Formats: sequence, C-alpha cells, structure tokens
Amino acid sequence: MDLEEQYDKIFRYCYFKLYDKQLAQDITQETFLRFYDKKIRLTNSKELAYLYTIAKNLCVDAFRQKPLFSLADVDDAVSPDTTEDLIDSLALRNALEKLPKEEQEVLFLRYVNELPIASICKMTGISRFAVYRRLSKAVRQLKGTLEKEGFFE
Amino acid sequence: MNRYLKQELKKAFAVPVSNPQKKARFLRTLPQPSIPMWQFLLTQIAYLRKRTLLLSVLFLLPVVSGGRHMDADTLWILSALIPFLALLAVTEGTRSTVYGMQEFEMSTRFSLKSVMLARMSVLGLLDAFVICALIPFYATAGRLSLLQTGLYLLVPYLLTVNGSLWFTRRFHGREALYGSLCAAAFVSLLSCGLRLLADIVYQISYVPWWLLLTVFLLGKTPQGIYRTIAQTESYVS
Repeated sequence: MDLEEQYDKIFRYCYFKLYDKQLAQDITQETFLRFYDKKIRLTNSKELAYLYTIAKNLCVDAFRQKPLFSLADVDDAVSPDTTEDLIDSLALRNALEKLPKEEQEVLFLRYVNELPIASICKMTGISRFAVYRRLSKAVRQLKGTLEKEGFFE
Repeated sequence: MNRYLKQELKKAFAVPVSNPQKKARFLRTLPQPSIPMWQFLLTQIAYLRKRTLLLSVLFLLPVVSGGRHMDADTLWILSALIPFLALLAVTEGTRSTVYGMQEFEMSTRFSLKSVMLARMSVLGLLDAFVICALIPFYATAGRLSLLQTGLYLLVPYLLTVNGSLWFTRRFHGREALYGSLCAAAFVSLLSCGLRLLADIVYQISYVPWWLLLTVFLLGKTPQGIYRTIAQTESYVS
C-alpha cells in the first residue's frame, strides 16, 4: 500500500472528524507513529482497519478537548469552478448535514476514502450486512433530500 | 450510487491540503518495521517470470513420469541439457542488467543488490532442488554412483553459470543474453563431445578431477555473483 496515499486519507478522515487542519495533521502523524510502534506493516485490510481505529480513537480524544464543529463549518477546502457547482456543493453539504453522524462516516469511508467493506466492518464493529444496509440507507436519504430540493433526478 | 454523486461526495468532503513539507519530512523519518527475509523472498518470487520457473520445473519431467523411458544414455542427454537450466537462472537473475532495467530497480523500496541477490537465491534454490531430485533417478538409470551422477550434472551447470555471469559482466543489453546463450550452447556441446570422443574422462579414475573441478567452480560461483552485482550497482551510479 502506498504510504503517502494512506497518509492523505487518514488526514482527510481526521479532518472530517475534527474540522481543524493543524490538529488533523498532528493526529495523522500520531496515528502512524502509534501504528508503526506496534511493529506492524501496512499490507491488508485488517491492518488498514487498525490504522483507522487508532485515528478514530485519537480524534475522539481530541474532540473531547475542543468545541463542536460540523460539516457546514468547513471553510475554503472546496473551491467549485462555477456558481452552479457551488450551489450543488452547498446543497450536497446540507443534505449530508441532515444524515446521522454514523451514516456520514460510513459514506465518507466507503466513497471518499475508498476503504474496503472488510476494513469498515472491523473498524466500526458491525457486520458486513449492516455496513451495506447503512450505506444504502444513507445514499437513499441523501438522494431523497437532494430530489426534494430539485438537485437530483 | 452513480459516478456523479460519488464525485460530488468527494468534493463535499474535500479537505485543505496538508503541509507538504511537513508530510514529506514526517514520512521520511517514519520508522517502518523491516520486512522478514522469507517475506522478502516471497515478494521477489512474484517478480520472476512464470515461464522461467515452469521451464526449470520441466527438467523434473523424467522424475514425475517415473523414469519409465530412462536408460543409461539419458544421463548424458540431461548433462547436455543442464547448461540451459543454468542459463535460465542466470538470465532471469540478471534481467535488470540484460534489459537495462537497473535504474527502474534502483528506484524501488529495496536496494538493487538485495533484489538481485534474492532472485538469484530463489532460482539457485529451485535449481538445486531440481538437480538433487534428478540425481537418484539418473544414478539408477545410468548405473553410476550418486557422487558421479551429481558431478556430471553439477559441472556443466556450474560452468554455464560462471560463463554466463562472465558474459553478463563484460557485455550489456542483448549482447549479454546472446553471450550467455553461447556459453550454455558451448558447455552443452562440450558435454556431448566429451561423451562421444573422450569417454575416458567419465571413468571412475577421473572422479577426483571432477570433484576438484566442482569444488573450484563452487568457489568461483559466489565470487562471480558478487562481482556481477557489484558491477551492476557501480554501472548504475
């Protein structure tokens, strides 16, 4: 597995959890240090799940020490090309905001960080079936919200 | 979920770019655990061409067939063919040199020296297994002792290995491949020629000379491998 790619993905995950660039970067580095401290090599989905679990726990610890932010607080991370893109992007963010945090997370892990289902199962501690169910429910809700607002046909 | 929505999701979850200098510095200093030797060898097997491994194992065909078609002369046929087993091993082991891939190999996670040594070890072990499996069968078929059979198979093999390595060191690219092929063909013809024209050398009284030659070649082979790898690295840098 490409270490640099995984670094970026973990950073993205931490940022998704905390919405703080500096803190996300520190936690990403701490995650890798803790992971390699166990003398494990990053080769398959099992180790990938372990890496994400470390990141998740560190984020939870950090989250307890800082005020609550949400996806709506994300600053200029996204820079849409046109006004239409900007509207679409804001609509999607609003639709995502309406989803429960667990569903946002599973969507993020599967479709943004492209984590294998097996890793998501290990990380979240739920069955493969439950992951699929949560994913399809999240997508259905997302599409429903976007359709209501006339952004998705 | 359709592709458009996936792309839009990625955009919605987009994050600011992490500090690239900080990231690069961190990844450079990150203490990664070293890979165990057996695992390293296993990864290198995956890079060996399957046809090379298959052809090497094909030498075991007489053993697998139960030696039904083997007679006294098959040893000499095998003795003439064994240089090509060595040729397969050398050309595969030194593929980086033969095909000018050193720069590519040097850019990998492991040093070129380790990669070449690992591949040569894998091929050497495979060939050693093939030869060891063949010796008892041919000793029985040829009515010769195990020692004699082993010597008559090992000498052409080791001669070809040393000759091919010499050509690999002297020439580059395709020329090294043709040189190695010439070495294998020469040893093969020499083996046939000796059997037909100077059969006397295969008598029991000459065994000490064969033994001496084998020991000499066994000593020269690691030296040849070392010099080939050392030269490959210096050629690249």
